Amino acid sequence: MTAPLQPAIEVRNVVKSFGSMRAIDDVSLSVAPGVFLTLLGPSGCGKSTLLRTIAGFITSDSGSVLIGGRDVTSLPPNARPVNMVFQDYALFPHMTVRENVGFGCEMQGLSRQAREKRVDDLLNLVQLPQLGHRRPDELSGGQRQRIALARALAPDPVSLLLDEPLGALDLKLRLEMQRELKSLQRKTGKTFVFVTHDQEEAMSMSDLIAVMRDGHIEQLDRPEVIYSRPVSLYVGSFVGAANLLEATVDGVDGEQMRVVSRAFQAVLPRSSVTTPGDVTPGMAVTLLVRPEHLQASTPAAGGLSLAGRVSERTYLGNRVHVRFETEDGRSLLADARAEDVAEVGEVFKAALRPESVAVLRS
Amino acid sequence: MTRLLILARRFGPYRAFADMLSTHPRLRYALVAVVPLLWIVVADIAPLVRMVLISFYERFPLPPGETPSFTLAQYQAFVDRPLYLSAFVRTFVFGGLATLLTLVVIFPIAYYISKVVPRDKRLRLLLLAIAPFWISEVIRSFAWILMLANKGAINSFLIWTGLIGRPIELLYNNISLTIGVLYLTSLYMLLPLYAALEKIDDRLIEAASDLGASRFAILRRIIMPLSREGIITGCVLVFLLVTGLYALPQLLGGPSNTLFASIIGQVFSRAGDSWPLGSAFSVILIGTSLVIVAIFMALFQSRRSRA
Amino acid sequence: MRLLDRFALPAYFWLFVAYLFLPLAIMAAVGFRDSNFVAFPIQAWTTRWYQTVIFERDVMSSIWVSVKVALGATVMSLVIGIPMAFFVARLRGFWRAVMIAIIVLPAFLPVVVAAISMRMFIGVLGLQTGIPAVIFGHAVSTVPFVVVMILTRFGSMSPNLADAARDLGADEFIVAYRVTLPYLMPAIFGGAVFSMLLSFEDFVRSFFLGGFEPTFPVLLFAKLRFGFDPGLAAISTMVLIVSVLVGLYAERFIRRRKLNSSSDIPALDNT
Repeated sequence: MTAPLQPAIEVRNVVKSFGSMRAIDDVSLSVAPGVFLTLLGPSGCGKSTLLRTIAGFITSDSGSVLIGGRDVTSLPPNARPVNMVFQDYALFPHMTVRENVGFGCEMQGLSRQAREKRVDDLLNLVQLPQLGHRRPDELSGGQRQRIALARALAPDPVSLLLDEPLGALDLKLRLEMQRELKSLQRKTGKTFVFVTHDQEEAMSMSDLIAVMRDGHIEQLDRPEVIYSRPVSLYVGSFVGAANLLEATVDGVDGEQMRVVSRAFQAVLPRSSVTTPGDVTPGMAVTLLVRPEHLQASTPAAGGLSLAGRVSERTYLGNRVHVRFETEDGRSLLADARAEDVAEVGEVFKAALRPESVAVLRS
Repeated sequence: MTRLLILARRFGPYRAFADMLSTHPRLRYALVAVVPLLWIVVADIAPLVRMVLISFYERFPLPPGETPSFTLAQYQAFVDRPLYLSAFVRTFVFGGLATLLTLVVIFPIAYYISKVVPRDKRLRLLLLAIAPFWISEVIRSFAWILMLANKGAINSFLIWTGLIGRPIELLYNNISLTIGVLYLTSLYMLLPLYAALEKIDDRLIEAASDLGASRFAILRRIIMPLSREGIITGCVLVFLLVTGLYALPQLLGGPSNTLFASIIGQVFSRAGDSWPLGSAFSVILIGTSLVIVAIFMALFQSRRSRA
Repeated sequence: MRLLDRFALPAYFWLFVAYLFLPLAIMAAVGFRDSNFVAFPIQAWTTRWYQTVIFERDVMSSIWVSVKVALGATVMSLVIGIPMAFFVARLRGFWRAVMIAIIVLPAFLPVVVAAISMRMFIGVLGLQTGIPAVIFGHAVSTVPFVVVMILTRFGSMSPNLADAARDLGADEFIVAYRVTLPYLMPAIFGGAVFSMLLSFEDFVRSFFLGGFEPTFPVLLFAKLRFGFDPGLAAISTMVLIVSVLVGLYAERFIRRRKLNSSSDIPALDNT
């Protein structure tokens, strides 16, 4: 790392259309070396297209892609120093594990000895040194996953691109692989660009998350910021469970503001507005409240309190998910402590601290 | 070899070309498409177009200096000559009957292999039933001649057992023709039927019999409708095969049951300029087959959509 | 009802198998008859026909012609069929249907029509009747099978496979040589054997397109019209056995490869 300020991957104003559909709509992005970045969004938001544009499988209509400071926009995939892990792994079925892992080094023209050494190192890194002579179809899903990682890491790329690589695994294995992927990233110090539609996956692994929508990046930030201070309803409701409460700004006073609706009123800090721009009295806003911030208690001064009849109660061991219906017909979800909660049919009173509310301009 | 290809990348123009292919999928595809498109035009379309054209010529090849004149004389000849017309009608009647016969004979075979035999033995029996089809039509006809001739295996056997005093005429008539044709067609019926029947979930049959359906009802209400695609495919294949048969009818059939394809062949190998006549007959044969197949499929399709 | 399953259907099936194999067995037996003409019952047995027929010049040269034609047609149908499959594999919707319909057309035409339309067309290509014309005619009829078999295999191939190779540094030629072609190999091999057998057993095209050197089926056809001797039965039996063995072997090869999802194709290159 001679030039630490040089971004590992830089995307400048990339546009890509398929017919009349803009799959990538003027996206710019800069990823520092060693960062684990996740492109998060529902299917069709352009995240895979962006990844494949970085890899070189898709030629953008305009804009440029830089890898390690070098403009690779016009280079074919085989000349770009990034490697990809595919959703279906795309291991070559007619080659052994060793031949698969060594393929990239073979293409680089490495001598047989150097290649064998590298393959050994990588199989050790993914903790599967004993499987070298198997064929991909003799491996389990998790093993295939690791071999695909080893194969992509073998040519020592600037960055690893991962296209929903955990999608095909079952839940337990997926959680295990998430941990392993993260530790692998730390061990190798590589930049990872990871694509997923699974927000929990994104949260648990990433240094940075870019939430994508309709071909552009809606918000790019650390996971905790994305979660607690989403810039839009789209981000807020895509990442984690959220209660959305419509309200109107009643008055603004210094660092405080008052919001009202039929069921509640509250005084909130003005800094809880997460959408860009200022709020003015009379403006319609949406309060985003995470279920775990709704706790059973008596209302605190100035804070927000909500009450309703419990309609559903899901016991989760240490926690209880409570769905309750307020008088004005809202259905809210609270993630509460087991001992606090009323039974179905009883009244549930919840309160939350003003700082835990995100206010979004509607 | 791989090493060579990698080394070749050091050679500038090669590398430039390879990179251009990598970055331009459309160019790559266009290059791949050249040979196939040429072949489709030259080998698949042009010969047929030329044949249709020739069928409208008075004579072909043209004598030097003569400009081609288009005429329907060849088609007229077909209608005027009862010899041609009767062979034509006979061919399609025979084709229909042979298709039906093949279906009736082969359906139980396909059913047995796909539904009665345990899964692990199916393939072996299927291979047994299709093994003879790797053999030339001519050799298979020869084998049947040896069976059916007056001094052939069947007559000799029957005389030896004392059932008959002198040979029965088995060869060069409709019997030998039918037996031989069935021998050719069974594969084309068996494979589609087997494929269709194999796909039917056995539990459907169990469920139906659980609900009290009789064997016949299961066949009619469950198996036949679900294997309809296979039946259609098999029948179309067999029908097209039979109406175009050439070698086998000449070896096993008699003079009274000449089929239309043989007439076309004869017109063709005859000395003199009969290309236009042969072409016209070919066009008539293809056209009729296609129309019949289309009607047949339309009938089945409409019945299915009503069901 | 169980009677039908347990007895009637098996009996019927084995009767059908007898119908298939008895004539072939009889033909093989006739080859052992110690006489110059064919008739039953066979009183004296000899292996002389099986020995002498392979020295008959016209028979042997016709088999040689058949082999040459079959090899030629096979090579040609691969050279055309592989790119054709690549071409069609990318098409979707209407054009795919149209192209496939045109490509398989030769397999559905009445054989006579296919043969004579070819006969009238080869002049345009500057060909005379003869071995090259027969090879061309056979290739036209076998290409559809090669294309369909490769296309089927293509259907099970992840498009990411080629991309993975590109991503790891392979150019298009290496992708084809190391990934795509090896993946398609079972279908290519199957198509090759199928083409060879189809070409070897073809009569009608060889008959109309052939010159003075007949293929084996054409020679046999001519001889059968003038009577026959046990030697013909002997040589037919030998040809038959080879054909069936090749067919069964190919069948087995393809099936094993497909079951293992092509996991044990011999590596083309280990360097």
